Amino acid sequence: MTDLSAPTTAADPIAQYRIGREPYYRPVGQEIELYEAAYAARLPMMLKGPTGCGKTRFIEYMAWKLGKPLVTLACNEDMTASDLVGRYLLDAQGTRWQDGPLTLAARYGAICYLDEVVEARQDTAVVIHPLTDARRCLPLEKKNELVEAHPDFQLVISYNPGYQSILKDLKQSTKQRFGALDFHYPEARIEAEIVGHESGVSPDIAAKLVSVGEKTRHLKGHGLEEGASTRMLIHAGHLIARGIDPIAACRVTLVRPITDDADMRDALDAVVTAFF
Amino acid sequence: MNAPLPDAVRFLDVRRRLAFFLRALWDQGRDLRSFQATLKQSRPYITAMGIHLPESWRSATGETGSALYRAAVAHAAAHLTFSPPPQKRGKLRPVQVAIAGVLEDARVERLACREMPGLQRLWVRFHEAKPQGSATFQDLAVRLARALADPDYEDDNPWVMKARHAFESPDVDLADPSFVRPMASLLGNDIGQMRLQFNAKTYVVDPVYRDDNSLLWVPQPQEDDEGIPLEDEILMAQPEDGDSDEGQVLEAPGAEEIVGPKPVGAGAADEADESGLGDWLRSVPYPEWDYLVSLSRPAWCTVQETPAEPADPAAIDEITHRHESLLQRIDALIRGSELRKPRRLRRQMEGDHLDIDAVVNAMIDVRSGRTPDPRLHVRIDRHERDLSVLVLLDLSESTNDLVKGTGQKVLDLAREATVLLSAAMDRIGDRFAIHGFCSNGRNEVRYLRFKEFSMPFEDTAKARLAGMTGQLSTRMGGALRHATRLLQAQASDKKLILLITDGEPHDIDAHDPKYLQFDAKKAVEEASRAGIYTYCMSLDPKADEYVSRIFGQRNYTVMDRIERLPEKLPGLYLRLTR
Repeated sequence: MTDLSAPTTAADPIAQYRIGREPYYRPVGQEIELYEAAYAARLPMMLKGPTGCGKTRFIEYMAWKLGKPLVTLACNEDMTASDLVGRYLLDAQGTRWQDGPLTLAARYGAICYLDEVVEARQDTAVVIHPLTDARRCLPLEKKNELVEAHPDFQLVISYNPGYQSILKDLKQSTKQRFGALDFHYPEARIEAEIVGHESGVSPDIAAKLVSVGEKTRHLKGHGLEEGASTRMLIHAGHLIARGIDPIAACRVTLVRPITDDADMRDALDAVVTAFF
Repeated sequence: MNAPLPDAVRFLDVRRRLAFFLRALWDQGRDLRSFQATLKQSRPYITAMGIHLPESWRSATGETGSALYRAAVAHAAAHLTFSPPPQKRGKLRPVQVAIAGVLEDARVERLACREMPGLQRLWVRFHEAKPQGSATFQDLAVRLARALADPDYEDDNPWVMKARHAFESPDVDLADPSFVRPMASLLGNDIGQMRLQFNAKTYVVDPVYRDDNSLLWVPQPQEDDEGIPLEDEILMAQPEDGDSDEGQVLEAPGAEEIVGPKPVGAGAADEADESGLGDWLRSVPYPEWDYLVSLSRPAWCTVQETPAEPADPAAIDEITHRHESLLQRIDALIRGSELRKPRRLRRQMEGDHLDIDAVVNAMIDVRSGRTPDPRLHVRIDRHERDLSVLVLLDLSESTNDLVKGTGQKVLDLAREATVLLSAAMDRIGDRFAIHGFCSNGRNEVRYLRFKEFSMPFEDTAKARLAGMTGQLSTRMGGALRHATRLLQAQASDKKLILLITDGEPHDIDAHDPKYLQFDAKKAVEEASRAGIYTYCMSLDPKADEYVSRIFGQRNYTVMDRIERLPEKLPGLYLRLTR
């Protein structure tokens, strides 16, 4: 077999993964400082927290701040190890090796972010093991190559421990390789600042949206699997900024997506009208 | 007296959404209860049992009806959040107590509106007082209530205006309830000087959504010698049986329907040998955790295997027949979740075998100079599922309570749910056992096995399930430890104890409720260390505090409507083991 892994852009094969503009991120605690230290030690990191609370935005911001490219991969049930590592492809002349996103990041020194890693099958998660300990290498079995991780390479995963399925959990042997940062919905003042900045609504409206969000979070485990996320509040803000009536905007972006239960819908509508 | 209109909104129809509303806005898990409105008690009231609302409001239909209930719940929650603990009436005269109630109502609503301005709209629509009309005290009190709630309302009565000015004065700090009493005292004196009659027997709080304010005052003993003698003992409308048990929790009539205990299955031990179950009769000692000293008490509690009494298995088949359509839905759910069969996935990038058709096509492409499709493999997708489940049923006395609105006992619903769940597990092919427990002190935790892992879900198991009864108490720890031990003997990859209970752990010889809770928590931790997941399905709506303590944040569900347990449980199981 001929290796024809001809790099498309020879100079910087991962140029497209570089982050040009500063993403907006509002620090909540010590997370930036902690992450910088973890990166300096090339410690693999795990970002924990509910959906839509800013995990992905944080890692984008950190990649920008550190000036490193970021390779993001959303994991799903059908993902196999070769989706991460790479595979041979057939072409007219024969075969060609195609690096997977993980290999790409390891080879050229990017931060590799595996989003919702529990969704991947457990055997898939195991391929990251050699990259996450002192070896820092990635064996490409099929290609008979051992990729030494670039000095800049770091592995980051996100993990939402709120999953209801007991059969979906990370193995201890995987978990224990990572440092972990806990993310929550930020406190009201900060969350309002974020909602205001991202959606462009007035501070007053943003504060009200955040209050609505907080109220829905009381219902977690009492009829709702999860309360409204910061992301949802921003969506509501976007509509309001475009001139939609706040109550209608909340209905469309918060209440209707979050539940199908008529009683719950009624209660949440009442919650929205308590603020607007 | 209050014959509701046929289409009036009923409490039962809105209870669930009100509970969500209360939980969301105030993070309050208070129980919502209904009572039958009478002349004496026509307004909502609040007790340690929860918030009591009328079964229906006369003439409140459609949207107005729901909004009225919502307004009542929001008002009660505002009291619970902002009102001070009950005070002694002391020398306050009944009229002053009534005025204090109006002021306090306005105060808590204002405070609530500071955070949630939209609530004002909800409340104001029920204020219908007009500035004209007879100037009785009842009338003035309603006008004052409106004047304090509705900034757009104009009134010309000097007393109402005086009260409004006093309340709105910048010197008044609404967050501090101490201004209410002196202000009510002064305004009450004015009423006296205006020679207006006040009849505590006929006075009712208005508007209707407001509760009777009985939570503001320490219940007054009959022989009250501290205050001035009063011509009326009942200042505020009290619940019907209120005057018979001062200081007690007030319970509305008709709120509870509890049937007497069922006779305990007598002579269980005698029949055990005849039915060939004798070898089951074992006593196993287990340690118990004492959280006060942080030590395990060795061999402190004894689990006794007790044979399950068989009854007619036809009862179980009857359940399956009755829920035919539900079972079909469950079937569809199982099929939809593709839990069962391995699937051949063609045209995959990776796989165990080559997909011959795809390879031929690829070669054709190669020969003809086109880029071939790289998906050449067949993959067998096995959703490997190797799961053993032990369903552990709480069989304590409280499972004999009737579930409101169904005429069925908690136990019957648990049985139905278990039968449907068993049908689901049977179809998926998971190994499962059904056990139950109750306790009578630490030396007698009875443990019953209805179905073993190795047993098919057929007549024997069904007969035993049909004969299931509820008695005695709930000592969870010992039962969990025994279940853990039995499950450990199973060779499955994943193991789960699914506990279905209707209340917190309690037993006759444990007076500190925390003791059994912490012991149960310890038992759950031990199970987890043995590689066994524990999940709790609680039927107690007030279960949150202790269930999450025992089982951990994500390992429980609280059913808000017990009557829906049979249809919910199989779905929960599928989600849980997806």
